[in-house]
Order: sequence, then C-alpha cells, then structure tokens
Amino acid sequence: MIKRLLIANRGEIAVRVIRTCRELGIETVAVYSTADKENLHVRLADKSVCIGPPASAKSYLVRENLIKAALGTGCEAIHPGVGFLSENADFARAVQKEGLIFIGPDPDVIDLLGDKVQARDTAKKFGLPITPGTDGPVSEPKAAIAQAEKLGYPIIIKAASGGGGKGMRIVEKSADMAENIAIASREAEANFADGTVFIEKYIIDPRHVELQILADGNGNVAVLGERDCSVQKRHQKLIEESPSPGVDDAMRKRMKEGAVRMFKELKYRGAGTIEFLVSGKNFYFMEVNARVQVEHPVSEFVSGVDIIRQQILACVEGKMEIDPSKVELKGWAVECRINALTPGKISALDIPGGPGVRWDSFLYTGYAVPSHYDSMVAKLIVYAPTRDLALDRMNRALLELNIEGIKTNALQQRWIVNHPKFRSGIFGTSYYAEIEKEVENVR
Amino acid sequence: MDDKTLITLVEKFGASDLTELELVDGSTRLSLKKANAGFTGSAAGAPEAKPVHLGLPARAEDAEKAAAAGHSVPAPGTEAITSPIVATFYKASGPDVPAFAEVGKKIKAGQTLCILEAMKMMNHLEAEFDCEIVAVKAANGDLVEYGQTLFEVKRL
Repeated sequence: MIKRLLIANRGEIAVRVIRTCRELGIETVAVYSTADKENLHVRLADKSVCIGPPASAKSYLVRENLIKAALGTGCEAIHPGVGFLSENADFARAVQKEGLIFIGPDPDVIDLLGDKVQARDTAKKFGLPITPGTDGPVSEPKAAIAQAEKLGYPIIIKAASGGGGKGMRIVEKSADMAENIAIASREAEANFADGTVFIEKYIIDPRHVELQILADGNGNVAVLGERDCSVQKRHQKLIEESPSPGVDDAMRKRMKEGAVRMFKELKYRGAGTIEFLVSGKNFYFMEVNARVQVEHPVSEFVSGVDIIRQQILACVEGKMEIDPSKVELKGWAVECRINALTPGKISALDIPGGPGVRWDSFLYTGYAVPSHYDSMVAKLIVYAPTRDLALDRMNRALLELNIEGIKTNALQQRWIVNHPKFRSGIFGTSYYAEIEKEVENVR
Repeated sequence: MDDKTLITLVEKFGASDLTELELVDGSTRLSLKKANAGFTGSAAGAPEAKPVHLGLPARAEDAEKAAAAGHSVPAPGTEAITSPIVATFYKASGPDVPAFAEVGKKIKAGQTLCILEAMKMMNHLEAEFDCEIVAVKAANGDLVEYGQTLFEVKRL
C-alpha cells in the first residue's frame, strides 16, 4: 500500500477522501488556494500546500503546481476528486509521467469515456442504446443549425469534457443557436479547460438514472446498483436516491449487462458512473463520468461498500475487497445537497444525527464560506428500509439541521422531500422547473 | 557536479525517507537536511494521526506551520517577495556559485533573485523593483508554496 497521497481538490470531496485514507493508513497532502486556507480539508490533512490564488484556473486547475506539490511532499499518488481535473486525460498522463499513481482509470480510457463524443461511439460499439445526436463536436452555428434541424428541436448542447450540468444549453429554435453555442463553449472552457461542445436531441422530461461502477482494471466489474438524480435545477442535481423509483428489474438487468460488458472490455479501473436517460421503459446511454461522483454516498448506503476505499485499492493494487458477483443491495438511500445561497461566516451549526443519517461536509462553526467555488457546502444522506421511511427520515434530519451565518437551500429541500409529486416517485428532470416558483418562496 | 546531477540528487532526497544526506565528491561537498524531518510517520508505517479539533480558534500548530511556510508578516519598512508558483527554491545557479541574493545585497529591477524549479523548468524569479535584501526566508532545495515569502526586501 502507498504511504502518502495528494488530493487535487477541495472542500467536501477532499474531506471524504481524507477520511478513507486515514482508515487505510495513508497520509494525506491537501492543496488549497489562498481563499481555502481555513477549509476543513486543509485542517484534516497531514500536510498542505498552497497552490495559487482563489480563481480555480490559477490554482486547482494548474497541473504543474499540483504535480510539483505531490513530488515535493513525497506523495506516491494523486486523487483528483470530482470536477476540476478529475476527467482530464492529459493531467492523468502528466501525473503518471512523473512516476505517480493517478487514482482513476487509464488516461486512454479517460480519453475514450471522458470525451462525451467519443463515449457515445464507445457505448454504441458495446450495444448500448444512445440518443440521436451529432457524430462529432460542433463549433460553427451554421453547421449546428443544420444538424439540429435534422434531429428536430429541442436539442441540447453539451460540453465534451463536462459534467455537473456546466456547459449545457437547451435550444428550442435556430435563432437561439449561435448565442447558446457561444455560452456553452465559454462555460465549458471556464470549467473544464476545453471549449468543445456537441449536440443531442433533447428528450422531454426523462428520468436521470446512473449506475455506480467499481472495477479493478483486470476485468472485474461490480455494479453497486443505480441512482436516480432526476431532481435537477438547471441540470444541477439537488436530490439523489438509490434505487430509482422509475426502474424495474428487467430494465435494471439490461442496463447492468450492457455496462458490465463495456467496462470489462475497457479494462476500466476505479470508480465510474454510466448515465442513462430513462423515458418510460426505454433508456439511452448519456455519458460516463470516469471518476467518483458527488452522490456516491447513496450507493455506499445501499451496498455497504466504501467506494473511495475500493477505488484507491483498485488503482494502487489492481484488486478490490469486494466480489462483483456478491454485491447485495438493500434498503433505500436519499441524498439532499445543501447549497449555500450566500457566502458568509458560519456562526452556528447543528448537524443531524441518529440512525441512518450521514453528514458529508467541510463546514464548521467559525468557517467563512468563500464565494469563489461551487455552492454545495454539504450533503445530507439518509438510509432506511423503504423509500417512504427514508423520506420521513430525511424530513426529520432536515428539521434537525441548523446552519446560521449563511443562507442555504435546506428548507427548500425539505419542501421537495414532502411534496406529493416527489413522494409519488413519478417525476422526471422537468419536475423542479414545474415547482420552482413554489420552492423559491420557501423561507 | 553539474546542475542536473544536483537537482536529481535533491529531488531523490526529497522523495526519500532520509532526513539527512552528506556527500563529498572531489572538491564538492553537499549537505542536505530536511526542515520538517518529523513528517514521515511512525516506524510501524501507520501515520501519526493527529487529533482533529474543529471550529476551535487558531491552533499553535497553525501558527508554527505558518511561520515555517514563510507566511509571516514582513517587518515594518520592508516588503515581501513571494513565490508565484509551487516550486523548489534554489538560491544559486549551481553548488559552487554565489547566491543571486544574500542579505545586504542590492538588486536592480530585472535582476534574478533566485531560481524556482517546477517540472524540470528553471524559472528565474526577477526583482520587479530596485531593492536591498533584508532577509532570505527559504532554504536551498525547499519546496515553496504559492504565495510563500521568499525574500524580505527594502525598496530602493
């Protein structure tokens, strides 16, 4: 096992990785921008290195500084976390070139999967159904309009290197194309250092369903069930659950078979997610996130597997502690993302507890939430035998939660958790937009 | 000994478990010591887990760390020159060569203050204004962070 690992990320996911590393006996090195000096990940890590000013493009996205920090502190591996450089094959290659282990799949596999245009081709090759779309990247509005008219509006523009809803735009008519291509490309450039975008037909009100994959790089592929992430505000996930109320056993089996075939053939290593759009009983391959995901705790709850631990073991030792044929899924898990609506200093913090409640966050009393980064400051995850019991538990946990000093969406999340349509389990990705006005009025 | 050999040695030393290294090669004598030699963890291989105290006022440990990392406030009348990148600090271009900037030395704008090595690239850090070196805050071969104070200078 390795002795020391650098986490090329910040906040909640860095804290999450540090916790598992401590259990594995691995020392951790945190990196931080000048705005994150007081962040919990810096306080928890064994050592820390300042890598730049607040802007991500000058700190968390500067490969040379990250790699230099790892080498200079005697690290043997780099965990990229989520977002930032986690799906950047060139970064993974640069890490490996310096003799360090990249906690993620092989750079060539990231190239294949991380680039959404290539990923569609790959999925198609392994027989997974895909949504109709462009065969390659688009940059010229004229060409994009021609493609869109062939597919039929509405269409969706997506960032080839993207994830997390950044760099995505829905376009209803040709007149709006040029502007949206430009915005999507700029957003993609700012978030992923790659402005490439492509176009797909937009499926109206589908469910967003994804499978959690863990693989050892030697052809052993475990599927830790699916997650439903249909509650999204402008493509940003708000609530995730496992299993999905919209997937039956037959669909689950078909999804899993296709995914296992694909990941086995690719000799995939570590944690990954394969995302599908579900419309009725049909599902379409959307993309693969070649990394761990924010919402991984719901899968950890239903499977009892520490995903970060198995990811590190797979990438460092080429083996996992789980037998793919013996993965047992039980109960129901739900996650609410707690987002800051304003920056500010945490003056009081009461964290929910009790049976089946998990709190993943970088907040502590006295911590000042900076305005430079993603708004998510915590994840509240609950587990219970059934969906109804899990939602009752989430309602209870959200009532216990008290964050003072910043505004958050906690009350809004509780409103959704108790909303009849959400409770019914019958909803798609348009659901949030339908209730947005009511939700935003919750105080 | 050439620059390349020296840098390789320093890097290998940095990545190793050694805390001290002394080398005599002809007329060259090289002595390397790690400032934070205690960081390598216990002999049993398990990290020395420090207890976690959250939400407490700044710990003594933090202040020590800040001082060690050079995040100190410059003395009145002086200004800090900080590192623009994460790098290895070299005060001279070679082992037998005088340092670019020693205490008391006057440096003209555009003149090299030190070398910051990152990803095998030797970056010359140049003075932005005429100044006199009051203090050198980094040691040869140190890993320096973004924003870490390297020199305290008096503007001329």
